[in-house]
Amino acid sequence: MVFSSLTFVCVFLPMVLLFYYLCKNITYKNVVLTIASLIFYAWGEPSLVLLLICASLVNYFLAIGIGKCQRMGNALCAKLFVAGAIVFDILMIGVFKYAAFAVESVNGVFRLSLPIPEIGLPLGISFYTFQILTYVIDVYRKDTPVQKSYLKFITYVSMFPQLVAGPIVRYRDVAEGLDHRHVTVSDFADGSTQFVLGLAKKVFLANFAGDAKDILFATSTSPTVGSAWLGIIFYSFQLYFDFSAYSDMAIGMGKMIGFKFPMNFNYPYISRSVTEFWRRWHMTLSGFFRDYVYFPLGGSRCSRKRMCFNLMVVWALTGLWHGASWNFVLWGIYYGVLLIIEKTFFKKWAKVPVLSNITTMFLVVIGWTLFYFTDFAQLTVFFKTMFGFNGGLYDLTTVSVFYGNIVLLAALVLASTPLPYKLFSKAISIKGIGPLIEGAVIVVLFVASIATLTGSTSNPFLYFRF
Amino acid sequence: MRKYFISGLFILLLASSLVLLPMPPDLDSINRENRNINEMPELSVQNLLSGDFSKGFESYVDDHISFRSELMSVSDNIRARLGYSKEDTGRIILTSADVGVGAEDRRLVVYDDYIMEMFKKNEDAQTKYVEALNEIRTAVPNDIRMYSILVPTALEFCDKYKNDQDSQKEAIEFVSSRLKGIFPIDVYSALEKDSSDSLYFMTDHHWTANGAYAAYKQYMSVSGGNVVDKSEFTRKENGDFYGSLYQKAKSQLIDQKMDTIFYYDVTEKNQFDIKMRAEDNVTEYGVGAPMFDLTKSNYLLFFGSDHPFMEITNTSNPDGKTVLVIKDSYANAFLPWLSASCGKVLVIDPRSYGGNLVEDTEKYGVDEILVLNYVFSPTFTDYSDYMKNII
Repeated sequence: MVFSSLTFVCVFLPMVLLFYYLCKNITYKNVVLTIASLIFYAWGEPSLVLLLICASLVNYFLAIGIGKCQRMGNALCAKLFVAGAIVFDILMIGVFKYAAFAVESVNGVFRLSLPIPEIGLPLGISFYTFQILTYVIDVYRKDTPVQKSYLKFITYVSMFPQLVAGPIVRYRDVAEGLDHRHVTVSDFADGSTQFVLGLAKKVFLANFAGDAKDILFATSTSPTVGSAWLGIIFYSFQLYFDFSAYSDMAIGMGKMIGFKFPMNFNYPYISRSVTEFWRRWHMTLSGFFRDYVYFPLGGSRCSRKRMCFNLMVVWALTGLWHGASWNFVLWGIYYGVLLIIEKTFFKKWAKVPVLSNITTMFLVVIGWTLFYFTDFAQLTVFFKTMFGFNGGLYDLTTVSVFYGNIVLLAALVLASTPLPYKLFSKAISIKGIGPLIEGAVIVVLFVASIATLTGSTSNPFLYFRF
Repeated sequence: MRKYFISGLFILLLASSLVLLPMPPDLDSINRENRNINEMPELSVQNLLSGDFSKGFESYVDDHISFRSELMSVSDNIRARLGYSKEDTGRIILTSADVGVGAEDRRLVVYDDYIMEMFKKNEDAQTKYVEALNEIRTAVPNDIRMYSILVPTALEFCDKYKNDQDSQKEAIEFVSSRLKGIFPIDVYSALEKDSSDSLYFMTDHHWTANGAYAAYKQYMSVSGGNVVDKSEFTRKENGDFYGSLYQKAKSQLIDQKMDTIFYYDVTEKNQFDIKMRAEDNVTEYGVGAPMFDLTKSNYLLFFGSDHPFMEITNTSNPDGKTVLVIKDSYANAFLPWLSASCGKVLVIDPRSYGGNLVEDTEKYGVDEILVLNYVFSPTFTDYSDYMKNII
């Protein structure tokens, strides 16, 4: 089930909130939340919900084992348990997400024809595996106590608002909320506004940008230089608004049920350097790799050579996390190399206004090109087209899509900056009429979103596939 | 104060959207899409495990939301404001809903009141199509002449946009040049030269009776036989409609002109006996069915629909030749013209035909076979499989 569907907005969410608030007791609230989350997950993956339950059970018991060993003062035993959990989780994601890719790669390198396993990618496996990992590692590091209630643990693992596309919520950030949480009316109101803004962002910005990109990329003949650039720019906007909309809706719903999920995006397209971009883009993923991979490897408090190595490992893994394909690895390495170059030669470039924004966006858009094409032959042709080695400058398709979406393009650029939200915040804080303005915006955006979802086929969130 | 107001408002919005479902559905909006409303799927373990229940439920919700027309018109208005169309440019839009016309390229060109599919070649599938035709040629007796028609679509004759798609002309030549013992009929040139109005519908992917007539004349000039004169028959209209391409992209189309379905009443001067055979190849139905089904005000007017097997006997022309047509729905507008020139026309739709072509050619004493499809059909990978299965 996707958030931006009539079934979710008109049926699932109202029903969940109704049952949730009918319960007074935290245990019942957790039961409602868990049942709702499992239905939400099973809606798209009826059988693979068992994998989610199985993964949560195994890690739940292994974490209890870690806790027991630590209480007995047996460090080796605790280490074995945490290693067992990490191996299990990595094996699980390895089999379900990377097995086919690995066999294909082996076949390609050694010219073999080993049968390629046909395993469907379980929805959101990359997200929930990482969330589980944060729990067992934090228990091992004694950063968080062991959760003895399986109900509370599965409530955390399966929590539907952030189950399939993040943000990656660490267990310790919600541990207290699992035991007792209180939703104030103010939290609910803030959550409602954030949810509606996220819904509108998905329906009007991400989906429309995706439509424009699809027209330009669906071309059966080679695209022109203009179509290639316009298409990849629309794709860059689609990715950002799609993913950040999902995070907004997740954070908004979290607030409605008493959880504070971390921020995931902070206007990444206004960045002046690649380093800054990654501080603003998918912040919970960067945070995960920083705390659970980069720092344990030694981070930057080591020799320059070692730091470069650490960076490349982190970025290759970041790329691989996004998909079981070499183009994602290349995309990760691309960022690793860019960051090393930036840290070595261009430390002061970020201080040059406008120009630094332009160069950063140029590099980001090139990055999204690597990200988009899983086929290297297509990628090569597309790069040739982008830089004028293929096709003409523009054609009727380019012109038609440009004029046909010129208002959308302006809206996408504007919405990538903090300006609209600042204006909105200012307007809703006007004494007397502020709440009326906020209410009017919510009603208009909600009704218009429902209207736009009516009669259209589903547009799943892009990050679902990760 | 603000917190109560916003929270209350949001709860009210959610409650209202929940209430929209049990209210009576907007059947008019579904009828305009020429389809049945999606009903609540059966709740069974099998449906739940296969995911059919969730898919069916989402379709049910999408169809049963009240005020569907009004909501969709709000959506149309929003989409229409994303930019503007330069009059001399037209628009390219992306289709979302699939109403059964499975083109590879999901783009449509909207230009000069016409909605047109963009063609994408698929040489693997086209090669399979050639193989299927050559296999049919080998299977039927040598004395039966065999012809092939591939019909280009409207976009191919739109100078502005024809080069934004793969060349349909080249795709037709790709097939024609590989046929063995089968005569290709060049209806491309016939359509290109024809000056009649409306060879194609504006909102549907099919051609009109005029387009079909141009192809028919070309076919008869190659295969031989008496060509009927279009002007001798009354042109009749049977209502306005929005066709399949409009249905695929209607949410993005504002003020689209409607098509008018029309036909030339060849039954004025000919007496036809029509009967159909079902997929089981045994059950006969539709005896005495009309050639022009006046209960339908769209392309289905021609014979009411596609049928697995049709036998059209022109009792006014008992000495005419017997032609067997293997076809997709493009042939439906062509068949009235052909039937007026022949003694008997047998029609096979490979997608549902349950018989054996060789047996039927022997049974009816077929003189010639015509394979008539629109240029997209050879690019559909499954279509050639259907063709191969008829022998």
